[in-house]
Amino acid sequence: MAQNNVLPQPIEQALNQLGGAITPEAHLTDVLAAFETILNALQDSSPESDAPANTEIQAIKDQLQASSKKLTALPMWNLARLKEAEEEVSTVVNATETATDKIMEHAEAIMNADSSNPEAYNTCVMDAVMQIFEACSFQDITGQRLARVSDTLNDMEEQAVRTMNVIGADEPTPDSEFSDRDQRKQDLLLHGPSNEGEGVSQEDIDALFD
Amino acid sequence: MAVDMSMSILVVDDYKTMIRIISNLLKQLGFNNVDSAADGAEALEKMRRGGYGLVISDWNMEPMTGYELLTEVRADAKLKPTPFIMVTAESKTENVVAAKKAGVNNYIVKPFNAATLKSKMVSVIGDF
Repeated sequence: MAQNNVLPQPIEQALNQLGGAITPEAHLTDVLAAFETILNALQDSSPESDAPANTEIQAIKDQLQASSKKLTALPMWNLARLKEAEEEVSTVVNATETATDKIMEHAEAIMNADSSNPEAYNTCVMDAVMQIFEACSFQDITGQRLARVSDTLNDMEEQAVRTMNVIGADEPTPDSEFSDRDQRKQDLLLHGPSNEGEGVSQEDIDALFD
Repeated sequence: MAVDMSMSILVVDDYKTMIRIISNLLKQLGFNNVDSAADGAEALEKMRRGGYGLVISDWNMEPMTGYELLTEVRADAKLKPTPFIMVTAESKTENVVAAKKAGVNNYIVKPFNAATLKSKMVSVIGDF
């Protein structure tokens, strides 16, 4: 009976070899390679006469190799693009702020202009209006930057979906990533601006205060 | 009773631009005594130091939100009577209901115009 518990030598060697190879830090491809090593050892120790077992092992090996190929064929995640997108958004925020400051400055100049001298007043207003027009050109540049950010996010989403499909990962449930920051947002009703068509109108709010 | 046009108004918003917009609108409406704070904590500190005739506050600010400021103000016997208008992009019903329950005097959703600001101010502090 005791002899039945002894593993064939090639399998025992394979398992010993793998013991240190499969760690929590191991990549999925390493795990698949480890299984393949075990299957190879099983195949080597299986008698040639055991055709059904050998066929079964070969089928599993083929499946593992197909999975490995799918994994290695996954697109590389270009994290530098995410960093670039972050910088683009930051630039847009700064450009918007700069342009808004400039527009406000010239609007205030109009507001405070002395209208007692019509000619000087007219010159001041026209000059300020031209400066406001110039400042509004930020929208074209920021639009292009945001289009690039949108492209990056779409590409990343596509890559994430492909990766999840290959590794068979489920989409995270809202609860699984509920952070302290999310809790604070929920407690203090920090939803941020509503999307178009969502949220209550000023008229609806007014009705609550009448 | 006539509105005191020289009363001090505290505008609370973490965006300098929004403070500038509201301050200019108030100036156009005839209120020149306008002070500002960048979040609820700074506003509360300023309110405890001096009296304001009206507070116009954003909701979404760090570290202290406008909603927290409102609840602190209403819990403080000295500050409690101060008229408080919330001006915010938070437009969910639960926000409006929570603010009303906490004692806000009126609620304006961003983006807003001068006419809306004036009409809400009139309903809170009286005609001017």
